[in-house]
Amino acid sequence: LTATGGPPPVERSETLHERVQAAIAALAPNDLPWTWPDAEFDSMARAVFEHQFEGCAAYRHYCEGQDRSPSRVDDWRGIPAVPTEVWKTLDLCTFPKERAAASFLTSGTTVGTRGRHHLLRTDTYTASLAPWMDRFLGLRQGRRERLVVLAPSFAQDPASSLSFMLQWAVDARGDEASDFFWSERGPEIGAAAAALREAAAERVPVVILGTARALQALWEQVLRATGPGIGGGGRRGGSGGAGSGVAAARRCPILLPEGSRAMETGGFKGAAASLGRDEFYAALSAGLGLPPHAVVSEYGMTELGSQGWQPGFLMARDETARDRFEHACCVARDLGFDAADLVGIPRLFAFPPWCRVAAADSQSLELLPEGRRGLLRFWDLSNVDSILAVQTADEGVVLPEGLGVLMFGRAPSAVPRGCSLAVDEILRGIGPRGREGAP
Amino acid sequence: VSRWLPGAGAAADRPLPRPGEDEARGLLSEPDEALATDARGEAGGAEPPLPLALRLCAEALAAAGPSLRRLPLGVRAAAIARVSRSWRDPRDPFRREAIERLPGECGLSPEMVAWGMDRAWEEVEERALLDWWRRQGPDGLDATGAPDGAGPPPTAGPPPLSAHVWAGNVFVSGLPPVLASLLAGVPAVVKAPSRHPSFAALLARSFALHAPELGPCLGAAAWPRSDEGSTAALLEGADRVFAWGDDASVAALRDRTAADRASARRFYGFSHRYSIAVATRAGLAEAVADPRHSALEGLALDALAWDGGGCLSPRWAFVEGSPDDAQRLARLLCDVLPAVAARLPAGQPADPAPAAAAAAAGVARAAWLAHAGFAGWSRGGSGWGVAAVAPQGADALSQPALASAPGRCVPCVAVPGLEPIRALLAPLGPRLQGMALLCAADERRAREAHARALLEPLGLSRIAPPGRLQTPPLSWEHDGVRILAAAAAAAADSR
Repeated sequence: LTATGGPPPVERSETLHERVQAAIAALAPNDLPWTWPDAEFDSMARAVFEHQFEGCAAYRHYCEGQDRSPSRVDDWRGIPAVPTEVWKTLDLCTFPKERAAASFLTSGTTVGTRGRHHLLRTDTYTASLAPWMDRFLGLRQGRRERLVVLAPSFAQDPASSLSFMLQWAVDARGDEASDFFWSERGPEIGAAAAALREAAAERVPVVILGTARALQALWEQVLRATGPGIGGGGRRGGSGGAGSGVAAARRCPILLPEGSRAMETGGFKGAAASLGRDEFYAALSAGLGLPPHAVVSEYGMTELGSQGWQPGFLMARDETARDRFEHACCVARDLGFDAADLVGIPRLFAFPPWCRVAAADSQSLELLPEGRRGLLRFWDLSNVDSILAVQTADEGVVLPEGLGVLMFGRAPSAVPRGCSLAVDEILRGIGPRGREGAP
Repeated sequence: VSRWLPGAGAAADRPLPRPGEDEARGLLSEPDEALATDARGEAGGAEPPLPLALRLCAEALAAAGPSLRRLPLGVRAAAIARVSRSWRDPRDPFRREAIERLPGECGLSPEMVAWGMDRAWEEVEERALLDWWRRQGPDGLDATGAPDGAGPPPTAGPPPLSAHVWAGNVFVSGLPPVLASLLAGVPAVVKAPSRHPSFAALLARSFALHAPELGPCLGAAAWPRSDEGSTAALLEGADRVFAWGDDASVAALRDRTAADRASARRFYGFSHRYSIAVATRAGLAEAVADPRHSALEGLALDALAWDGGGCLSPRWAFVEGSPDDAQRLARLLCDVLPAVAARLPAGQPADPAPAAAAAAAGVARAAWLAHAGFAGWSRGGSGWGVAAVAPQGADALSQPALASAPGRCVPCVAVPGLEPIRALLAPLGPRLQGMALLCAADERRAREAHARALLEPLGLSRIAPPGRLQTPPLSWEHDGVRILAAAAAAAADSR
């Protein structure tokens, strides 16, 4: 027993992994519930929290400073969340990080150190990602499909949680011709386009998976191949922009067979600069001969073992899902938010029952009622040996009844300045900044 | 872009409506559509391009300077005091328009804008202005009487005209040198930041309306730093420059004026600075004994004012004693911060997407509170945060919990005495500005003397009781500069 009377950390961890995996596995693959009863989630969340409180001294100290402990939280919402910024400076795990089976790092696209997420074991991570990916991307156990991946394989980037997920998809759901089209230089667009053309010729449906940036590269190269004046680089709404790009893409020779779809992830920060998100989706679907609902976005982050998916492809195949997410769009509209894109596809994200989301007020950091815009906070049971409660810098609205989450992207990092010194920059040796506040 | 440039044609040279006459229109709205111009004056046609307008304005103000200087000092002081009173009057249209415009420009709440204006103007009374003159005015000038007639012949070089380059969203930080300049009889032109144009223009218009006896004396316009032609036009017409900004910007302006040896310019640069709070053992004991101690509320006010973005905003509250003492102060602050934060709410960053931009402050505060919570102890509320963190090692301030405290957050840092503070702050160089000192009354004098001896080498130029740090007197020698003496220097020879 530990000082607080619980089982030793390793035993506790194993028990929790088994419990979480069993809870996920108990669900019928094709009939996953959208939410779990609150009491069920709460019971598991408390158990995971207790494990993390006991096993991670830094987190325990933090919680105690907040006057929180496993016996002093009303429910799972009271479990203290750790902002993603802190994951950059601390190793938040219940075990010595040297024992990690995998250590995922954030992409490091922003200034500063990279956040890290250490996993003692990866099977719960896989158990979490698999059913939701299957459901929203139309994959299925026992069926092998052609996967064309525009991202590094796990061997190429063992620190990438995205690569881990995509590697699982290729290994578990891909046919023999499935592959990663990536090199040290980035996406291998030419080879990927050849693979797509081959699949089109063979009438083999394809699942394209890639980052927004890589898919943009694919789109641009496809468009360039169709002739001059295509993708004229116009900005959103400007002349020669999205409209002409989409029209041109329709002349693209790669018309993928029915049943093909594409997954985009990673967001549009720094990518797809010449098109807005909706226009890019429209251009991509037209350029590859995909119906609009077959371009699906995934929301994932290094600090979370679970992912959110957009439901367009699922809705086209599942009447219950269609009713649910059409209802979600109506609810969002009643709340003053537009959840549908230019062609009416819901662009909200659905998270699995073992990962709950709430929005926090940006001023008080208190949780907001559903339907209010705020900073998204997650409680992910698949984060067994790290921290299950994660505070993000992403803004969104959590719809009532677990209907989904509207995402508004990353909150900007710049705040207004006066004449105060940028102390952190001085201490980092960067020197006083010359941007805001400058004459 | 709002501008008010006497001598440059258009609206600035037209009679101003009396207060109330144009309230429905907005004081920065030009009365004639044709007069509306953009930064380069391209849209209209009635006003010249900005560089030319600035040159014309400089000529007009310089020409009006002798008349301004012939006014008795008391008249100038009375006129400035009248403008000050108008800005504190809730009915004043300029104030009302500032409260309407500045939150969007500066990312401050309307309450903070109003508070900032009240504090900036509260001391600007006739008696205080004359007292300022006695302390810092040029020798040989009669502070209360009128100079007799024309005075001595002008010296070589350009006629007295001060240029003021403002920066940042603490919109009143450049006000004292402007007032000093006008008090000294030196006309002034203000370059406002392009993102915060309104206060300077409203200020200039308020002088034109409320102090007509001063004649054309103040011009204002806003333009971006990239508009070097306008900046050159501003600088070439001025014989003294007061500039705000980050180190690099101020240095660039300094070099620019130094390179022009045609005129004997004086340059006063005010770079970004930081401030601190210090609680002595006796001061903390008093606060613990009386949690309603006004110093606690004062400390909270110092921290929240200007959303923590001013050079006089304390970045750390050093607590003499143990980490427990630091946490004691932090917990006491938790009790008073909510009320002060409600009185002075956080602003929304001026951004095209206000909701998204507002989240930026929340993200920063959440991250900091967590960093501090992992390193020590932290609490946060609506628009505020406080933490107690024990410094670890000589580079303790580099810890995320201490280096990256966002605005409206107070890291309380335990130190055994004042001496270690100097060591902790040394890596920041001589950029310390002010210090709020929470101490017992009977130790204040000795403690202040000790603090000056220790921290003046780091730049310290102001010590104040909690709650007064952010409202320095007119006579404050900002970065060691005697503002009125600087503004008046050459004017004494050319009145």
